[in-house]
Amino acid sequence: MASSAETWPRPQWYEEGIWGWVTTTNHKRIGVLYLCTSFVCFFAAGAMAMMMRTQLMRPDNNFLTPEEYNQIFTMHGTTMVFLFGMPVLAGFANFLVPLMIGTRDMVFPRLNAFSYWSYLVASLLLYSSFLAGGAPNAGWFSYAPLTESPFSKGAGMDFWSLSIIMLGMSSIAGAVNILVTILTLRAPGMTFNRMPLFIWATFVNQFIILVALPSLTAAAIMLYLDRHFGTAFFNPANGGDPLLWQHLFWFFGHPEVYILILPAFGIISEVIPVFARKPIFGYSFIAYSSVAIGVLSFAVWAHHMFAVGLSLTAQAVFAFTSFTIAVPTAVKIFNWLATLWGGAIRLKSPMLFALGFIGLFVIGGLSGVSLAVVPFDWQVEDSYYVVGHLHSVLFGGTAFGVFAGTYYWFPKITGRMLDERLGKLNFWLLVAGFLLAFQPMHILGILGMPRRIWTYNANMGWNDLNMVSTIGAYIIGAAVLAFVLNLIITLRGGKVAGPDPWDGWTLEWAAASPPVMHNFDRLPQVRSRRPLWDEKHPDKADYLAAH
Amino acid sequence: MGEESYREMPSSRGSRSALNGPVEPGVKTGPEEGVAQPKTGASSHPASGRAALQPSEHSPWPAVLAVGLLLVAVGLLSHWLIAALGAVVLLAAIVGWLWQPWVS
Repeated sequence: MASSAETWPRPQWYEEGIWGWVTTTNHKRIGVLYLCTSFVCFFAAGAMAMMMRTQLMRPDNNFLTPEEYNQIFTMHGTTMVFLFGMPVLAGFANFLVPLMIGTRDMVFPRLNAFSYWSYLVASLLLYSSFLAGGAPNAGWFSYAPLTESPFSKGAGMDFWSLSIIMLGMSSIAGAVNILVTILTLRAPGMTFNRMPLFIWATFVNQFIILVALPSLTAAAIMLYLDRHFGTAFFNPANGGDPLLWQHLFWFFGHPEVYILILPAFGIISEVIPVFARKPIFGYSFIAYSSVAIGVLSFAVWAHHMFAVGLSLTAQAVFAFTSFTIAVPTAVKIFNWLATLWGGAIRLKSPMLFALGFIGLFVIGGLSGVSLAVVPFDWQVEDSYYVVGHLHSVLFGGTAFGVFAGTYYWFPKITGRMLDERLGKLNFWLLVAGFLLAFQPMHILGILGMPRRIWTYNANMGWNDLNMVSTIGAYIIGAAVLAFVLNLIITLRGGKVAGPDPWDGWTLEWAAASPPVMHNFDRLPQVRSRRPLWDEKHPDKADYLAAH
Repeated sequence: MGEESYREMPSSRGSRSALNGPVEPGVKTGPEEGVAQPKTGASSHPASGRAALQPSEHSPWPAVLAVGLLLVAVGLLSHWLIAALGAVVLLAAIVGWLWQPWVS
C-alpha cells in the first residue's frame, strides 16, 4: 500500500492555517479540536494519577505533601470527567454525527464552535489555578460544606466553580446542537429505526446532558454565591443544607456516568458487527435499552447517599432502581455476545478494544450492583472499593470504548491507518495495567482503606496491594506511551487508509478519508440500517431481505 | 465547487436513483423521505431550501464570545475592571455573531 505523503489526500480543511482553525465552524475541524484537546487533558490527568500512585506505593511516603495530594486528586478527577471523558465523546460526536446521518454539518455551526472554545477556556481557567495560589482541593464532587469559604479559604474552589459553570454552558450548547442535528438533518431514508447505534447512543447521551447538566451548573453558581455574596444554600451555620449540594450534584453525577458510558456503548455497537462480519444482533433492543438507561439514570442518584441518613423507604426505592438499571445494560452485553456468536471475527485493534470493553466493563458493572445493596454500601462507602468500582466502569468502559473508537475511526479522521502491532501492544498493556491497578482497590476497600488518604501506616496490611496497584498504573502509563508513539509514527508516514479500510456499513465510510469539506461527493441511498452493505451487495441487500 | 453543499443530493424516493439503481417495487423507504425532497425521477439536485442559506464556514465570534466569558471569570477572581472588559467583549461578540451575514 502506498504510504508517501504525496498519496495522502489532505483535504482543504486540514490545510488552512491557525486563523482558519480558530474561526472554523466546520464540524470536522471542531471534532478534531475536541479530540486533540481532550487527549492532552487525558495525558495530564494520567500524569497526575501516576503521581498519586507513586505517593501511595509504599506506606509513610512523602513524595507529595498532603496539600499537593489533595490538589492532585481533585484535578485528576475533575479533568478525567469534565475535560477528557465528556469532551472526547463530544469530539467523536462532532466529527461523526453529520457523517453517519449523511449531512453536511451541524445544524448550528457557530454554536458548535462556541461549545468547543468555551470548553477550552474553561480548561485553561481551571489549570491556571495552579499558578494562582493553589488548585481546587475538595475532590471532583466538591462536597459542601468543605467547599464553603470557612473551610476552603483559597481561590481554588472559585476556579473550580467558575470553570464548571463554563463547562456546563459548553455541554448544554453542544447537546442542543447535536440533538437538533439528529432530529432534523438525517439523510433521506434514514428513519430513527435505521440510525446507526452510535447515533442512538449519542442522541440519548445528549438528552441526558441537556437535563442533567443544568443541575450541576446551578449548584456551582449557588456555591459561588455562598462563597462571595453571603447566601447560605449549603452552609448549615446560616440555615443552609449541605445535603442540598449532594442532591444537586448527584442528580447530575449519576447520569454523568451514563453520559460517559453511553457513547462508548455506541462505539462498541458499531465496531463489533463490522469485525464479526455480522449484522448487529437485537438492534432494537440495543437502541431502546439506551433509552431505558437514559430514563432510569435520573432515578438512581441517591444511591451515592445511602450513608447520609436517608429514610428506609428512600433507600429501598433507590436500591431497587439501581438494580433495575443493570437490566438494559445487560441487554446490550448479551446482544453483543450474540453478535459475536458464529461471526467471522477479525481481531484487529478496534475489535480487541471492543472485546476488552465487554470483559472489563462487566467487572465495573457487577461491583456497581454490589454497591446498590444498602448494607454493603454502608460498609464500603468512601473506601477504595468505590474507587476500584468507578475506575472499572470508567476505564474499563469509557476508556476502552474511546480507544476502540480511536482505532476504528482514526483512518476516517486522518486518512492514515494506525499501526496494528503498536495497537495490540497498547491493548495488552492496557488490559494488564487495568487489572493490576484497579482490581486490588476493591480488596483494599474491603480491608478498610479510605479513599483520598494521603498516606497510611505500614501495619495496616495494605502495603502489597498498594504496590501492585502502583505497578499497574505504571503499566497503563506504558500503554499510553505506546499509543502516543503509534500516533506520531502514523501521522508522520502511516499507511494511507482509503475511504473504507474496514469494509464498513455505515455512511461515514462512503466519504473520503479524510472527508472533503462538504463530506460527501455522493451519498448512498438509505434503505436499511446498512446502506453501504446494500450498495456493495445489491443482490443480498438488507432491504430486500426485509421484504 | 462550493464548500457548503453536496455536489449532488441523492434522491430519496425516485423511481430510479442514479446512486443505487432501481428501487425495488414495494420497498418502504421511510417517512422522512417525503420531506423536502426532489420530485420523483430526479437523480440528483443542488442543495435547496434549508440548505441554501447558511452561516459562513468561518466566524471569529464563537471564539471571541468564549474569551469574553473567560475575562468575566478572571475578573470575578481578580478585579472588577477585567470582568467589565469581559462583559464588553461578550456584548461585542454577540453583536458580531448576529451581524455576520449568512451566505448562499
